[in-house]
Amino acid sequence: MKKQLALLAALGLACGMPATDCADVLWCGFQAAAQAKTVRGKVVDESGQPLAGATVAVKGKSGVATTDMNGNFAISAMPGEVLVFNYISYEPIEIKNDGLPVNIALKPEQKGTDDYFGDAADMIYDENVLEDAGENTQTVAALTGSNDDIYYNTASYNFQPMFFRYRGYDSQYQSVYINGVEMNDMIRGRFNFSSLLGMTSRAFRNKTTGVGLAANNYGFGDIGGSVNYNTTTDLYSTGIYGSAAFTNSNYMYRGMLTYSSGLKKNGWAVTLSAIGRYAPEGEVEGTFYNSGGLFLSLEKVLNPHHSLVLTAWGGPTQRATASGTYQEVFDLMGDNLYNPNWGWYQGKKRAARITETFDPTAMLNWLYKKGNTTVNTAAAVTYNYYNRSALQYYKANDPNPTYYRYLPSYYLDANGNPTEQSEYYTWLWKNDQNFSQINWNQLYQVNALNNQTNASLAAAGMEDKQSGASYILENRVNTTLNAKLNSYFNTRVNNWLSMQGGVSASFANSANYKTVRDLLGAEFWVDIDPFSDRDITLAPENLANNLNYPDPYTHRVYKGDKFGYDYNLYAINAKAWLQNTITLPRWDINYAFSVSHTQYQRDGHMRNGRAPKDSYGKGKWQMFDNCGLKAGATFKADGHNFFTVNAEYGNRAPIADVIYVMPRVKNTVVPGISSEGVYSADFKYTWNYRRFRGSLSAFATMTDNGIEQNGFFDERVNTYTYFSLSDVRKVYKGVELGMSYKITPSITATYAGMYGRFQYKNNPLGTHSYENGLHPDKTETVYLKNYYVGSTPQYCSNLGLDWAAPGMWFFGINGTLQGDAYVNLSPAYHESFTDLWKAYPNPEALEAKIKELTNQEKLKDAFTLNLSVGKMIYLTRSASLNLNLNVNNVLNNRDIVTYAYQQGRIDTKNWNANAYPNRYTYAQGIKIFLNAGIRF
Amino acid sequence: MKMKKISLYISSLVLGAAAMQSCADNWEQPPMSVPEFPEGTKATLTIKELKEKYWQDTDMYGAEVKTLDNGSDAVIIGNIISTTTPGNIYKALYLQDATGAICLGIDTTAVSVAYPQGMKMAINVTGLTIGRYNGMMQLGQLSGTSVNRIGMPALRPHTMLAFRTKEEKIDTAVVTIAQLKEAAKTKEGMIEWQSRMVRLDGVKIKEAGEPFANGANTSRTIVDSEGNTIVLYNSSYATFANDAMPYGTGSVVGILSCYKTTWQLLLNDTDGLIAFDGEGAPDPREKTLLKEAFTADQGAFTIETPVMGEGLSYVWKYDSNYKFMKASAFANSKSIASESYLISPEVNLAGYSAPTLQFEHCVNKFTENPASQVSVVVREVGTTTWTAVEIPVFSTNADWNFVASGALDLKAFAGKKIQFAFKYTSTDASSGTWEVKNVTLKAIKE
Repeated sequence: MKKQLALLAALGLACGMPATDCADVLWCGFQAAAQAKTVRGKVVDESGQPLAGATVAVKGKSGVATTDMNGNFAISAMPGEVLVFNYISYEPIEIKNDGLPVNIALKPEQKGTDDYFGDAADMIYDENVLEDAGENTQTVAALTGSNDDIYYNTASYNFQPMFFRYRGYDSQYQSVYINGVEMNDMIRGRFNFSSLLGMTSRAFRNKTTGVGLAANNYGFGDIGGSVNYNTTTDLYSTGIYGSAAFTNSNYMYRGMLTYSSGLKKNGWAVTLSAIGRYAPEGEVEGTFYNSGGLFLSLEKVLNPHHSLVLTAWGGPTQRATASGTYQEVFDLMGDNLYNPNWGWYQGKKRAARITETFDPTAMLNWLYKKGNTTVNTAAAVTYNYYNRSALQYYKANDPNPTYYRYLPSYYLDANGNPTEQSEYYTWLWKNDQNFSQINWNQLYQVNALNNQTNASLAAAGMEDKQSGASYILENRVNTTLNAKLNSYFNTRVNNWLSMQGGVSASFANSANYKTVRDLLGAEFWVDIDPFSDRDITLAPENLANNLNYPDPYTHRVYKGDKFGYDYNLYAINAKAWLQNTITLPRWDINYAFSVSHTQYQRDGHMRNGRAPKDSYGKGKWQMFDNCGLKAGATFKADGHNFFTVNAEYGNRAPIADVIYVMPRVKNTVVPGISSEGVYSADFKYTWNYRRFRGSLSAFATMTDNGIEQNGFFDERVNTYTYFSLSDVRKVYKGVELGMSYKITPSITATYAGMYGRFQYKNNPLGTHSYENGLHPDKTETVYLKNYYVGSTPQYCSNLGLDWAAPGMWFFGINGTLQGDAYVNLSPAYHESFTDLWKAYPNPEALEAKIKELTNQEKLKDAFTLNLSVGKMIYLTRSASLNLNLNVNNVLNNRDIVTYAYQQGRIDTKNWNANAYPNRYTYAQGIKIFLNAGIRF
Repeated sequence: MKMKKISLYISSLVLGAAAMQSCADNWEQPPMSVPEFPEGTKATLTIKELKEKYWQDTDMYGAEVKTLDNGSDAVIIGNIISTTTPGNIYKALYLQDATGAICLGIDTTAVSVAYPQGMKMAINVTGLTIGRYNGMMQLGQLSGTSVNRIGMPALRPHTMLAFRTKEEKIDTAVVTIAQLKEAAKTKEGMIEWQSRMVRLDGVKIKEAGEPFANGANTSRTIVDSEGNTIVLYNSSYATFANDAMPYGTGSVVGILSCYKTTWQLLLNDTDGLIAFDGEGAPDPREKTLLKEAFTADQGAFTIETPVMGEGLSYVWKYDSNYKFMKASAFANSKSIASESYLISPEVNLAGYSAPTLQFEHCVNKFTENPASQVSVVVREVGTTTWTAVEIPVFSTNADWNFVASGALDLKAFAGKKIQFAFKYTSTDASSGTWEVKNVTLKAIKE
């Protein structure tokens, strides 16, 4: 009866009954309780804003009162009884009833372990960049953690081993803001977390995370959620924090120092931070790591309404990287972390793949605050230098030790049995590092022989017959200059309505070219296309990388010279968004709208012999106009149970990186490019009791009209081929559960799990573009329907136990099981096989073969167990020492595939599905992070 | 109460999510891109009808196939059931429809390159020659008065290829050898079964373990559980000719060819030997430690003759004419006393068990029991004492036919380093001839 009354009250409220009456009605509901007196009061947040929908209960009794939109409540309680205040994402508070009005402020809930393990969380943002043979890079989005979403938080910290992607999305669907400025790369669409230089636990500590489709105050966000890092100087806790860490990862040592002045009386505040990370050799053999960074945040409070914040950070990183390879090689070497990218040279391990980055950023924010309105206006400039080195060769043996003709399997007999030759190669692999690693000396020798021949040719006056280097190290350089202007506001119109909105304009200029890094003892390199050379008699012009050279077929380049390709991509983007959020006692409602304009242009600096007409100069601007709509509503059933539904519809411009069929060569765009449609909805139930809280969500998203790109060597036409997929439809759906239960006040059990299906849902178009230019581009259907989005687990399950022990000790243990991940498929295996019937001339055999060729390999499930121990020691009232040890993958599971992809190359001679096997990257075994930090 | 509410909310949400998951989730495969017959291509008669029409009881003839009575061309359509790729079937193609099958002789070794096994084929047989050659009915061209192979240029205009559908698959008939023997007796039986692909179940290959072909085209024997036999005819040019035939009982799928009235089963490839259970196969750990056929000389064997009677210049000697070792003490028309050893090289049996010795031999002209005058003896290397080992099987002592000795058990010498010898003795009163070849010593590797 009472409940029904309360519900009626709520409905009345929702229908717009005068607010002042409301509390009385609620209170009426509890009148029946005898002897008790009415207690009134108000619940606000830290900033004094009223909290509507918070619950008040009398401990040990049933019945709950809810605050109205002014935060007022009334409840019947006897003196001496305890009142319990609850609001989602806020710490519950208990207060003894003394009969007087209660005005309390609730504090946001803090994840208690941050002080212990914040440093360890930095590891999540380390370079999770993988490079595949097709020179494509794959980045794994780091999730940023969130205080109030148990599932998202657990996923952030514990689903990393298999390169979990939130809801299966690519990293371009997650928006990263810094001080309200959207920082996703305009060319590649994603945010490069490594540009934060590992300072996420300190310099980029203050952040707001929007999970999934939730509304944000700083921007429209994206279907994969968003995060806004706030570097406003006065938010940093005053003092000095220094830490030293040891780990066995990409790097071994890390030192970090942060100083914050706090806001001085003269209105100035400064925060400075420095970080260094170093490993002479990383966990993976033949890799190294050198990185340093500086961070500055400087604030001047001009007056109570205006302040200026200057944020600047950046630093160089140089690191040697590994590449994935075949299982055969891992098995030969007995090591799933085998790295083919190094070899012995002059008694040292020399790496061939070295990545060098430098991403300095400067940003000026003007903060305005008056009454219930804030405006944040920013100008930002970022410059990204990114360079990867690689071996290049011409008319010589492939220098990569894992080239398929160097593997024993290439020499097996027709029945797959070992031969004398295969046994010999096996022996070489196991015993000769000149064979199983890069043989630098041989590369130098081959080049030296060329020099000798060249010398005698010069003596004979035949300089034009000289040949260039057989091997060089090249740099693949990408530099991008981004300039951004952004302004957004947040205003509370009245007690129940607030409004947010913003406008932004961005410009990016991305330069892409190769340079000669090291001639490896040779005299020069001839800048022609190594692939075209085989077919020179058919189309001699194809040889030329740049017909504008005076000598396009013999052009010599030297150390530091540009060669191969050289083009710029320009991107311009303008965006505006507006959002309303409405807060009612039983309902929270938000809706937002965004419009944007994006345009791209390619500007070629070489007239390529394979496309003389459309490679040089500026191509057409490719324009996209887009809009987005999103809306959400939360029903606060009773202060403990919440139901939220969100939906988003919109379209988005494709990223610049995929719209050209062969960006290194020509201005031609993928046939039929248009904006990608995005449809997403989720539903979430949240419960929040004192000991037990959690949420269960279901989501479904469709992206339509997408573009994907990859490249591979195509045996049928003997050349490197770019493969663009257009009109791609994918569907992502699943359920997520996160919950925690306080077994005792200091021991908490947490569970997080996800079960999803991320699939292609149509048969898109595939366009082949042939590097050697001997064949025209070809477009045909690719049969991908129902195949899986690769390289992310489609179920995850994590169980953890945390104990905040007496004496400021903290212990944690958790185990994660992940599975249903599939190899990243190559669309080349999913086209109609026109000649296959000749080898399999009856339907049963043909069907079986097609099934074999089109199979998408399912990766092994993975289990990891992690332990953590932390200890905090207060030296004085303000100075403290924290020590923490994280041991990930305690069981030393070395059989976790983090990333796998199918090669594009197909064996069209024997149709052996395993002739060009999948490539894998494995996670390392046990990983230790030991950190000591001091604050004063 | 609290938990109940949470569980209620959760279960309804999970149910809703489960309903969202659709079922039709199979990976879509690219369509089969395959050739088809031109519109309107159809058979005008069945293979059985064709064969009945042109069957003559006399062998070795050829007749031109005429247009049908209604004036239309004679067109047969069937599935190609043979392949020449492994080389067991040679210059021939077998086409089968639901009523029967026919052989087409084609004068190229690469029949299957042009006409791959498994495809559907239409042949306009009008103008081709049909006839019987050594009993086997076939299509081809006329050569003299008889049917012979047709050249590719002449044949090509008569044929069309298409990819058959799954529905057009023709099941392989399962037959018994007895059934086939019965069929071979009548014209109707021959018409029905010649050239068809058949399966025999529950049969063994008599020569299991031996190669399919022995240097020349070889007839092997398939035996069923009732002892009925049929010839398995293998070409020495087949890629699998030197492979060992499987042991045990299994099924054989092959094409029924014939020589006059004798069936000859032809394998397309070794996939036609299905699920042989391997019973009776030798231990796979068995190794051959010594093998001497005496095809060129006496090999590494040595001869010692401690007793050589007056008038003898040798006892053991290599017979280069007949290619075997021969011992005899009969000279100048009389027997002469002797004792002679044909001694093997050293054989190390360390790490081996169950050594056995096998050879082929022939005894003749002995007036006493040959076993009393010839024997196999063994000694450990470094000792001088020879120990006799029983020879299980002797030849008749009445002719010059070789027999297999059976396995001589040397297990007493397992693990030791040994030599064995063929010991020949004679007296002035009695001597015979002993011939030995194909000596093999095998043992199980531990």
